[in-house]
Amino acid sequence: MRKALNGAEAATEALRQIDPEVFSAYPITPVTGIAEGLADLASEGRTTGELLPVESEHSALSVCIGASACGARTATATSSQGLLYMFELLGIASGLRLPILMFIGNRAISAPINIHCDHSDSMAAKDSGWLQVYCETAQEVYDLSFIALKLAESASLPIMLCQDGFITTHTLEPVKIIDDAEIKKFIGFHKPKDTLLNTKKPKTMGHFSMPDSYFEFKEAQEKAMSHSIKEYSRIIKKYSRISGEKYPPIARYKTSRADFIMVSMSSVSGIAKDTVDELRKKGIKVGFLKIRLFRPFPYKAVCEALKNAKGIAVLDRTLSFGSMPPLYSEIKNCFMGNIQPYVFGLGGRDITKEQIHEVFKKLSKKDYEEGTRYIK
Amino acid sequence: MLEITVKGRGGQGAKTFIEILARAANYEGKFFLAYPEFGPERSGTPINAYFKMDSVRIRDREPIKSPDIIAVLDSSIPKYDKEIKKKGKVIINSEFDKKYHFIDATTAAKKFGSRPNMAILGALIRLTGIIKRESAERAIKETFIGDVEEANLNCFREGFSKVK
Repeated sequence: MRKALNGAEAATEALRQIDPEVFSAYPITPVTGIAEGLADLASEGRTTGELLPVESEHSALSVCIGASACGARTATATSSQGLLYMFELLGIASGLRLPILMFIGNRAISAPINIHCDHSDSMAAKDSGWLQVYCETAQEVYDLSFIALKLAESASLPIMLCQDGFITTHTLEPVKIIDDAEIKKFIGFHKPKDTLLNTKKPKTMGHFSMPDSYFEFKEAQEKAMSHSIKEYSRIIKKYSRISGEKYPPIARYKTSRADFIMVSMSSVSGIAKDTVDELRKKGIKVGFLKIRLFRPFPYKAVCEALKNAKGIAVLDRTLSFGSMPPLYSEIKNCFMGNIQPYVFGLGGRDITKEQIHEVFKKLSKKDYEEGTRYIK
Repeated sequence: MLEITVKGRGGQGAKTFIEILARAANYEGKFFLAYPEFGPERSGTPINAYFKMDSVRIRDREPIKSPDIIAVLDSSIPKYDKEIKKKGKVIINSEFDKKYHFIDATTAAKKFGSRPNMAILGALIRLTGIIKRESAERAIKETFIGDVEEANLNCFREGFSKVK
């Protein structure tokens, strides 16, 4: 079946089919349509989950955290200032390894106040331990909702599913809807390993963790994050069997043998591809690379796609004040040579002179490895 | 690709206009994008709403610069001469006009308890045939219920039959 839906309605339709046990949100432009739509559905008896309107975004995410810790499938939606108000809870959701599904309508941050699209909000949260996926169209919002949910649950990590405020949230387009039964089969039941309400296997969550253990928690989180690239590929393969759509972590548009490649994300991809077609007609070899999965960042695939380009342009929809913009920085990360990332001292873990000696020793031996090394 | 710009003032239903077009186009299996230009969102301020339709998926989300059709919901909206494509059609809300197609949508709206958008939409469907009348009426029925549905259908039909 095909429906005329905007991005917010596409998210609502996906949420109707997911029917999370708990949905809690505080309305904010441009994602108000999601909570409104769900409230309509609930009033018509078309959903069975708890719909919890609360007094702030801080409370909305708190509700999701509590419910998710008890084993419920949970979702929320927010944007801009709302996401910033949730910030304190973001690290708690990811640190507790709770697979909360959050819809984001990307919107600029105040001041000056502005309700329109840029990526400053979700990009500010890129290092909060949440998975992040960026959508170009309402169709992507719909399909990726299920993929995002499954990814979050398989990695035990929360996920942000981002779409451009107004440009996607408020534009009506044809959206192919999959049968309820097919979706139900695809998403299955949520069976978390540990829940707070399992009296047979009592657990403490979010307890005190001193310098002797905190680092290991964070390392496990990072491991789950980087492993989820493989999980993502597995899930999209399974999803394409019911939808026919493929949603790889990066979408290459005429990039093979392209001299010049532009890289960006979300809704701008449409006109980027149109422009590539126009230039290709004139014989100019250009291509476009869309980053769909931003966290974890698919370095290998991006590097592979860009390695033969003569020139690369990266279009960011946000500033990183006093630094380079975030997507640009990630692309640069794909082309690092003799530079090795290390992480040390998390949660107060001591670092010793001996360990610093070791760092220099490895440098002098040209001992580099892919990915981050930990000094524990 | 067919491009339509709807010009009106906040509250006259420019957004609803393109939503109905989108639903109607969807029934006919066409590809489309429909989006309003969001500004300060005040009642009475000028607003543009855009509708694009094609037989293939549309990727271009830019505002329409040079439409094939302009539908003007409010007679006080100036400046649409320069935008319209050559051989494009302009439909305005007016009792009479020498240059453009016209329908007195304000009177029609008052008569049926509707908004000017419905009469202009009816006029547009009649003049251009871009989608079937039945599809448009089905979209109106899907969008509204009860008395409002009835009023809007009547206003749409008035525009359809009386456009000049």
